[in-house]
Amino acid sequence: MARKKVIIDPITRIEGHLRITCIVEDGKVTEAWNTATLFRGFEIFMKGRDPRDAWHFSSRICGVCPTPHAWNSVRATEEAFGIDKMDDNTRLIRNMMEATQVGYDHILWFYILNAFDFVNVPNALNAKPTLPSLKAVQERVLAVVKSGQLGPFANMYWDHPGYKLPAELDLELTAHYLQSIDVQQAANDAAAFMGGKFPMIMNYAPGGITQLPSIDEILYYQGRMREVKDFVDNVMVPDLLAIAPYYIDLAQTGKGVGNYLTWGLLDEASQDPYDRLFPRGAIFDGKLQVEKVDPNETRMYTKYSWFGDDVGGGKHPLDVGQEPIEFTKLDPLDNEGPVEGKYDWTQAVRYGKEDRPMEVGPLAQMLVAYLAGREDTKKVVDDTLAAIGAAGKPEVLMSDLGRIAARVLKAKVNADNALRWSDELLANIGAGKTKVFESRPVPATGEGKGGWDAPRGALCHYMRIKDGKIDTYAAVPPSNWNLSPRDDKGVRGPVEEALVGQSVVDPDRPLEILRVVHSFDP
Amino acid sequence: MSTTEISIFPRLTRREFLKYCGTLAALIGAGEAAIPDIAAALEKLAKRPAVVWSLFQECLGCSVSLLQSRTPDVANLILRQISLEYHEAVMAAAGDQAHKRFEDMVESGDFYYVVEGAIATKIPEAITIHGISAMEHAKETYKKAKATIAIGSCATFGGIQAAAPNPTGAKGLAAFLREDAGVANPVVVNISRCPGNAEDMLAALTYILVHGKPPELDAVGRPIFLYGHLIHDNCERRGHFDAGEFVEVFGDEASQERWCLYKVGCKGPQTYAPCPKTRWNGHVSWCVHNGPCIGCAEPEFWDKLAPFYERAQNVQIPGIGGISTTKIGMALGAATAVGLGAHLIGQTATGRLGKGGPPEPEEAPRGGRS
Amino acid sequence: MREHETKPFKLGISKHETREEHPLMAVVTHWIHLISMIVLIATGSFIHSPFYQGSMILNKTVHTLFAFILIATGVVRMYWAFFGKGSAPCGGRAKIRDYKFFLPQKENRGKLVPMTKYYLFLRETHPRTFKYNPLQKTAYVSLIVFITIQIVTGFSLLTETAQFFLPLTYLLGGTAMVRSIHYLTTWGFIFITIIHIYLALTETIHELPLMFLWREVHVMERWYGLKRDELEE
Repeated sequence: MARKKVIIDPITRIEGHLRITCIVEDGKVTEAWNTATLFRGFEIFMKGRDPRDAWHFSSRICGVCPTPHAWNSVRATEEAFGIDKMDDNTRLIRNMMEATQVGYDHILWFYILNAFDFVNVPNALNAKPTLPSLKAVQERVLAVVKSGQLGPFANMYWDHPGYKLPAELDLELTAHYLQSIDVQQAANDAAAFMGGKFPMIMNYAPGGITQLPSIDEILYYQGRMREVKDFVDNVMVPDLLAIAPYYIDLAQTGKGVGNYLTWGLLDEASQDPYDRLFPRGAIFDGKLQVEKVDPNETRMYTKYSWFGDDVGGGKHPLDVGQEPIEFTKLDPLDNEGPVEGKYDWTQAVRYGKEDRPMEVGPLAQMLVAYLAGREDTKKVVDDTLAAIGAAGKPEVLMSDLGRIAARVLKAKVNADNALRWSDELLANIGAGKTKVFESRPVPATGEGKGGWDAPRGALCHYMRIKDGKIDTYAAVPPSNWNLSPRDDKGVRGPVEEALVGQSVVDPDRPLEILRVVHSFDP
Repeated sequence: MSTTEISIFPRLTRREFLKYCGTLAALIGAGEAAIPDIAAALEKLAKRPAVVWSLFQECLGCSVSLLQSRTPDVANLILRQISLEYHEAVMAAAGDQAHKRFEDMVESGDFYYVVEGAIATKIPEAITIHGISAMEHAKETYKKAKATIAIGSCATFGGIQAAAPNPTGAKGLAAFLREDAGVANPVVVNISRCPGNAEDMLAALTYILVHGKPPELDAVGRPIFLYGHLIHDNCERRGHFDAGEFVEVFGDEASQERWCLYKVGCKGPQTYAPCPKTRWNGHVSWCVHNGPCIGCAEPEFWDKLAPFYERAQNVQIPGIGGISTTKIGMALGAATAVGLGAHLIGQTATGRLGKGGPPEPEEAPRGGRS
Repeated sequence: MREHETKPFKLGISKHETREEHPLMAVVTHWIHLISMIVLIATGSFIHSPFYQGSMILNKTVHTLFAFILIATGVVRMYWAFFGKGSAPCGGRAKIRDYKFFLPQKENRGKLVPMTKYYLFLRETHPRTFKYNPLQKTAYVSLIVFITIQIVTGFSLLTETAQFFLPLTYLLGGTAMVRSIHYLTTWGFIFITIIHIYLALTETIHELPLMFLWREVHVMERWYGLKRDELEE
């Protein structure tokens, strides 16, 4: 029996630091562990600070998706301050900021982080393009290859049989890779003009928005977001449909735990989390049925994390913290045996009484929105299912390919609505409604939570205030859900579960493992 | 138009190339006279300068910031100007193949080193890559590199994870090299801010390529040509500051007029950074256009410039934490008032008021009091 | 006042010669410093947190101007302290160099505890000390220390000189720290000044005229209305 332990460290093209360890037997993964190899201690150093500053700190949890972290944090703070509802302009501006985030992030992920798993860049040189623009791209690739300095393209398994696209598509996707850089810039420019800069926007504050955008800024926003929308409609969605047939077998792999969770994102006027553009909800055990969920049902476990065993113990995030730290050891690279004992800086997160591991991300968001009957989502999903010959079967989305498709389609729904919110904001300003901020003193005590998804999945921040200072702060980002280690009962996390059973052609060049991991946008 | 192609800029015409040199000259503050020199120096570089980019305790924000670079644009930058040989978030290869690339590059010694993220020194395993801690990575790579640039608040000054109580012992690269790696006088060009600005980083890199040595650095290792002025000195709202026109609370009428944010906690007057000049995201905007500065270019700004929405900063007192200077002043004021009040009562009671107590009976040699 | 029982001024003053406890130089700089201080504190408070609708640039200019006035008179005062004739302590006309009053003096040895006790009402009589008692001395010396701190941190904050002081700025803990030091030291000033005024008014108000009319004979004549002849022993 051919048994091999595969350690991929570092997993590249992700945010953060990740190691994946797999046991591959007879060409199939039989056991998997994911290890976050980075720890910073946010929940420790945020204690005792001014609650109004919390969002500046917690935006720095993720430099790729700081905006939803900011939303969660200011909302948690506002709830603790007793502001139950945002004023309408604040809601719209925060939606607009979020729309740039979603737009940029999914483009970035699809082309810059994920594409190399499917697009063979050197193979683009074999194409025989007729379009001058594609010829130019080919020349650029050729110049890089000729120079002998391959830069980011060096050492990839370009000869892996897993690459299936014809040379023409490889070239076109490479061209779009370069184009996507400009388009993600367009989305971020829109955010920056209203928010000061991206990453790390500056215009949120507990109470609302620090600066009502001027008309020219809103028009600029619309212009840039229209570029994003054009790209998503005319390049990204067609690219998805073009490559899907070549990788249709990915619709069978990476099923994962079958539980999907989203706190929802992008508020409508009601500000009801179940009435969002992507509503709150969960799907359990792969059943096509949406359940209501509560962020306070989140439970933490630390038996396999580098914290004291009883730090977690199924407690609410606010009662957990990150102390005491109990680093044991990182599995040595030459250890042939299984990973033993504690192995992760991430704490295991489970949902509800049954302690279910939950998959989060655009797939969860799109499935819930689809099943909850959101019109725009339903339309794009149905169209896409029909295009790939799976009309009326949304369950095929519960796979690696589904995760990829969900991101692209979500980017479309998002871009379609960004302009709507900015129009509403213009209408509000036209009607003389310019309120964007409500000043409240820092209360002596209070408690609040967010609950608004990041592009990569469910995100919730929790805050407890005592004596006017942060008493405890907890952030449960999507990577905590997807990249959960085993919980106290030994149940695998969603990525670990998705990896088990995956076939691997060549354990020395584990392209298939990369694909599964990247499909979660870790 | 001449179509002479320069090896590292294969698609640029001569005129475009010289225009680009002009932009660089302006960025590094060299003036037009230096354009031919810069052009000559760049032309001499037959190979694109190789860059090894390490990610330590970071959030990837600086890399995302690199992706927002406009002058030069990212595609040109990565494919034509530099050769980004190792960057975990951008490179195609992963795992062993990626690490091999890293080892080969370090072995060759022919690279410029960019560090993003802090280095954990108390818990070295809080950040490992390929099973190797950032401490080991940084120490070895720094020694081999032709020049080293730290980008972002974390790599320069430890950043957010170094905020008190700094659970992982996070340090900026220069501090780590000096204090933990035994490098006497580390030369690290610090491009601070959160996130680091790619155009600043590229300006510093170009300066190094052109002059063969790092630019002149300030007391905390930042290039003076970029970080020589307070944000406040060049702020677009400065006129309102001088006129005494201040936003009192966000969203008020003054804020719609974009008056000065001083009173709502703007840290521009305490922050050395080129933000008003270089701005962000293709120069479309910058923080103070939309909200108060939090001083992200300054060392330890998380502790020293907080709270961010208050005029008066906290003073860090070891063991107690941050205390507002206003509170200290008020406490001292109250103590004095109470003390003097009590003393006044005492003086009245003892009959000293207005004349003081009787002098000591015995005759001092040359006694007296004022 | 006139009936003050201790009559401290019968100390051998002749018609022709006059004793100067606080010579003109000390009196003039003292009041210039006080005025500068008040202006600096007022404008400084505005700069710290603008509390009325006024011009920042005016406040900053005035602040800087009076800082320079304070420094200039401070330099003159320091020169005089070391090289001037000095002043006469109680009990004679002989002048002692001014700086010596701010250093420990043998006449004051062992008087710190009695002085403290006196202020805390733990003893009835005022200990006999030299011109300035130990606590007074400490307060005045700390004012000199404070003013040095203010000058250094002030220049670190002044746009034109900030770059030069940058290494010091970061040695002290960064830009915000320097600002906080400048601000907190001001409070130190305010408190010492308040205590100084309080004691001057409650303990030794009869000596106050000396701070305006630097010659005792002037005080006698113009404040207490005594004739010069009556002063002769």
